Amino acid sequence: MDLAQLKQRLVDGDAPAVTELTRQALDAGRAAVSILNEALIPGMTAVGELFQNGEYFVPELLLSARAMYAALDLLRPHLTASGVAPAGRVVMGTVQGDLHDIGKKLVVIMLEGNGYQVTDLGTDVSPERFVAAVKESGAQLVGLSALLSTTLPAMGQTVRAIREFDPSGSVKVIIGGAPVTQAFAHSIGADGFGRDATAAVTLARQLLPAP
Amino acid sequence: MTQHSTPNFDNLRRVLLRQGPPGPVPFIELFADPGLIQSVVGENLSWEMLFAEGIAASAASESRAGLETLLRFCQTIGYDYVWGWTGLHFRRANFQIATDTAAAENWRGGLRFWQDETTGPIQSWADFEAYPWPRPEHISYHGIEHLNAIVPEGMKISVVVSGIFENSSWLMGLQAFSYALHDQPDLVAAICARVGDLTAAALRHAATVDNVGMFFLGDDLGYATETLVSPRVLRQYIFPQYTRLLQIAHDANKLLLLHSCGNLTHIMDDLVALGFDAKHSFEDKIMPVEDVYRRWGDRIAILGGIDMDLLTRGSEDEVRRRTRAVLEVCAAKGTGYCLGTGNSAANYIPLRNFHAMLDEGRRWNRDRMPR
Repeated sequence: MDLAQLKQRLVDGDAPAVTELTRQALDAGRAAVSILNEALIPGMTAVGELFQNGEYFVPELLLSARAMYAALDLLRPHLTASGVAPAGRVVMGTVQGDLHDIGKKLVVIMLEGNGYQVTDLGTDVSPERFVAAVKESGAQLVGLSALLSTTLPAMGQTVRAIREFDPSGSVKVIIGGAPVTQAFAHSIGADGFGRDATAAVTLARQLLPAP
Repeated sequence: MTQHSTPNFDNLRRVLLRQGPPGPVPFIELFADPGLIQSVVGENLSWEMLFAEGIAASAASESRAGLETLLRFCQTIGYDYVWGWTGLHFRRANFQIATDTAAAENWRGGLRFWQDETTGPIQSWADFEAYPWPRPEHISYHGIEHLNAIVPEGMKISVVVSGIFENSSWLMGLQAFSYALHDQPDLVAAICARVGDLTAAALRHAATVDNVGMFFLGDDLGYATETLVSPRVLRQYIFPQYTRLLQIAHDANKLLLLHSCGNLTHIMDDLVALGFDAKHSFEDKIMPVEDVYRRWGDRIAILGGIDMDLLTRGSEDEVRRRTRAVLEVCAAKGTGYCLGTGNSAANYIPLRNFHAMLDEGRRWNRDRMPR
């Protein structure tokens, strides 16, 4: 079965069509991992490029994400049964004192859409909770989000807490958000700065070893 | 307290209309947080003291006292206007509250409110019909009417107006609004039109108040890299409402300024063409204000732009140097630019930095403008 149509419907944000085409593909005997790698991930990659190029905006990205999650709901039992490993494990959260959610949510969408397993801790997350989540999930990457200049210090505190837990530096930390800059990332010892949700995926691919 | 200058709204209006001859650079802010205000004037002030909607008689006197404190703050700083609000308010509870963690000099305790971006009180047509929409005849104007009675000679009122896109998307939650653009576009259109109707009604009445000099529409449309929704969506649902508000303001010979955060590069030409008198809210990370001024300053007044992150975390010396650099470009012609922060006089800006920015503006005016 040609998965190009499934990929295109995902890019179009057509959740009912994506659900139906995913079902058809599974019924036709296509492996779940094949549907994921040949349709969903390329589709979300295309969505990310459109977003980065200023052709897609928050609504378009959310619509494609809705379609993606509808497909993933169908694929997940098959992926689990076949023991497919994620591209990597990530912990995401908005730092302590900050309740901005949607920017971080878009990063989660793009990472999951590209095959990463993401633990989303939500907002107002203390450094201790980030460390606990890394311990529990075995995450190799942590993503921190903040909206206000006044909550930036919490990013530094979180990076320090992660370094204390993992002095080897094998757990990478990337940061993003309205007041965040490359210079600030460097000043607190973060491993990367992402200007938008698509950049986070690029950073994850650069920083994490291939599965 | 020292009052630094005599208010001169005529000069502010001249600058906003980009008219000559060259004159002093005015100061401008959308508003200041109560915490900063009370630190400058040494009087207690809270947000509740400033809003007059549906107040009981006892609260009315407290509200008047709050507005008088606000007026003293504006006079002390040297603004040519005092800001006020109408009582138009769209009821909703979709916000989250957290302790304000800013270790600020001028804010002890207190809470910070955050917008819930996921959902809101209107998700369907049934919700739209059941929503307690304000009635135009019940909108209160006590606040600006009180300011109208006490504002001194040379000073006017800037009416802060809550935005069309903000209120429409907040009533659904940005996430639900995004889905609705695809799933229920007629509902989105109805919400935007209703918000526009009520905002227009409030503007129309406020424009009849003699000492209202301008309206300051606050409507955040973007974030660091783009607008939140596409320019096509903005042109279809939001800009027609802006056209109505601009018509009302200009027909009454009042100015209409736009405060809107984010990267609006792809719609700035639209905003200029719509007829806004000025644009406020700029971030160095997106486009430094002097670059905005070079690109659009011949067609629309450019306001503020001293970066919030610099004001918050920079040294006083860094703030002074940056302010002088901005003035060298944006204030060189003596019109078309007003000095202020890149967003608002927030409670987390250290007072020494806020005063340093203003002090550089006063030095500029003293050194560059003939008496």
